[in-house]
Amino acid sequence: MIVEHRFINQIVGVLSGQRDVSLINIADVDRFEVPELDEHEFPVATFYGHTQAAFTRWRDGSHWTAAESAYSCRRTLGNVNEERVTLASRFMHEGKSHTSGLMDIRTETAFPLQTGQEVFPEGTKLRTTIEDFRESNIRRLRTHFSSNVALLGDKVWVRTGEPYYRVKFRPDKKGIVIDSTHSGSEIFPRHYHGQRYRLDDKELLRDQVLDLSERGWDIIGSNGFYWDIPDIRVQLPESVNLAGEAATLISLAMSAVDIINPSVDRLGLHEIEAYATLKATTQNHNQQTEFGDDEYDDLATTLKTLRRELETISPGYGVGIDFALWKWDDRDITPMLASLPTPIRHQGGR
Amino acid sequence: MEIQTPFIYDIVAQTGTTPAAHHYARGTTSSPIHEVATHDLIPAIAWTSLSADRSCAEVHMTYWMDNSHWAVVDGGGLGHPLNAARASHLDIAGLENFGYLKAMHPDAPLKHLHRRQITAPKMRDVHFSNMSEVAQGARAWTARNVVSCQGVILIKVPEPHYVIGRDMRAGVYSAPRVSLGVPTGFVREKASHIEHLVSASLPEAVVTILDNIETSGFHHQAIHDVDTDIPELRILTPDSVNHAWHMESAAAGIDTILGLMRKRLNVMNNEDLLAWISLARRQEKGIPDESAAERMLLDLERLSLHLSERRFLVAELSQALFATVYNAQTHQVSSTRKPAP
Repeated sequence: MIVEHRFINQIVGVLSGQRDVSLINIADVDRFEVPELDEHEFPVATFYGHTQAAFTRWRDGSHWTAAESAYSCRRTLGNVNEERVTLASRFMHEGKSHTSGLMDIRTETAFPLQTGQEVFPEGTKLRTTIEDFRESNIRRLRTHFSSNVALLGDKVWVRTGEPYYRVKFRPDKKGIVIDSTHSGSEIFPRHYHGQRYRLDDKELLRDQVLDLSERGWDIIGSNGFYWDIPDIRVQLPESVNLAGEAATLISLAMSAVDIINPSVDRLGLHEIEAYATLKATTQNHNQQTEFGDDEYDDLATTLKTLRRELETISPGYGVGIDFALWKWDDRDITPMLASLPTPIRHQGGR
Repeated sequence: MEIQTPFIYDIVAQTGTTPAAHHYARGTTSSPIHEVATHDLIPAIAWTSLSADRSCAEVHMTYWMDNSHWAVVDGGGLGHPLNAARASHLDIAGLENFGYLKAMHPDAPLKHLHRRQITAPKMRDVHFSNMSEVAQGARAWTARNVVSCQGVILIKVPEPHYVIGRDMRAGVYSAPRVSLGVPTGFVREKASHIEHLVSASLPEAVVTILDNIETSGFHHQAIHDVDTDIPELRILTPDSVNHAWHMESAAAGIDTILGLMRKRLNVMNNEDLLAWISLARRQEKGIPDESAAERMLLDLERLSLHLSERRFLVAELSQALFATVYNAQTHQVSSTRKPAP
């Protein structure tokens, strides 16, 4: 299917009526091809949701979800008409990357616009054009549409993160929330929404919830007698391979950068250093394909350093960090031991 | 001779109904001070300033002894010549006016401003107290920094020097003003936002720095408004002028710039962030010599876009450093390495 897609193009040049060369954002539109797939090359992986009516499909090493409403695919595709897809927001995926146990697509904006940056309408005339980034933008979008978007029947499917169980801490209510989610269009574990557990770790999750409730955490949503873990049917066992501890650590680190950012100027030197490490590690991930083991340890150390500040800014974060770090130290390292003979990949610059 | 000296110590105790907690407490002790002979005190640097009632100019001076400058305490003032001074009495209030607590607790200079500072009778159930150690330290510190000479008390003071100060006025930097940095207490107090300090032996460096600032137009005042008269300072003992003041002002300036850049940390890219951190670490460790300060200023130059409208500060600081060091080549012995011209 050919879709028409609106995106933001960058041109280095001079606007008419101005004197200085600047980077100008101009709305642009082009046509891209979205692959059409059959049912058999796109099997159902998991059924989830209240009545298990929703499901994810499995292809090319990651889960896919149907972009049904304009909201759920806000970040990818806007309105799906017969032959016309328009991007509602300026976000776009670019290529996919593999994180130990996680298949994901970077949901980074291709060009993060700063607040106050103006986007000029399509067809704005420039006095001088020095460099036009249209080619590379289109190449990036073409990769995105051919590898991250697919059409099955009359529905558009987009890559998504693996569904998982989560335990959310609510220190204000001295309680925990257990539920399941799949991260929607948040394919990379960008925001911390609680400790993540993979779908076949149901027993482990049950044990730990019991453990937590013994320590005095109420289970929010239970009537005091009955509680249960939401049921998710796994259709394809090989599609469940989330490293819950690692994913939680990454999501904590990713949101920690955003939380710390506004108040970084009043931190001590070692805390700023930790913030820089977090920022560098999470930014590096946009270029490299996977986190090394030493990087996870970096993340754990820096999160420990920043714990006090994070707890001050957003209460409850500290408990999440403690629990995630405890889980990380306590993680199952059998797969890691199995892969020991392979040389450890050293990250550049460290 | 003995004087009463104050000090601040730590105590973990109960006050009122609150549970035991850490407090700063105030104590006094009696410290012995040494008696020195008049011939040990060699006149070092002399300058004139208006008398207290502003009716006439008076001569002030520091004395050179034991590789440091000493000034006579006379009433509430400092620096009268020994023969003109009355027999002085230095009480606790007088000591505090001269920055005694600040100088004695250099690790926590704001200790004495602590709100929860308490006095001894209010404390109950003392768990921990380092009163005797701090009192011991206070006595030793006083013995090193206060002496008496025939009933007149002298305190150890920083070396007199030239100050080119620039203040903020309505958000912009004022034109430079030259003044004398004469002792006002045990430690030197910063008077202006940006200060270029120049050793007393280098009045020509003061001229160079002023010329640089004026020609660069790094201020928002008319040239005729600039006060460029260099106050007079008489060096009586040339050996006594050896403090590297330019290093101190360079370090303070670098500190100011790093502080200004703090506001930009949340928008810095990672490279700049790491550069800033390494600079702050170097600043924290202390700047060993002129070339290190110059290298730091070069690195700051790269980050100076983050200074927005105060971008000139880096250039001004390196010019001042260069002027002092370049002029110092023939005069000063203490400057170890000079940046290449």
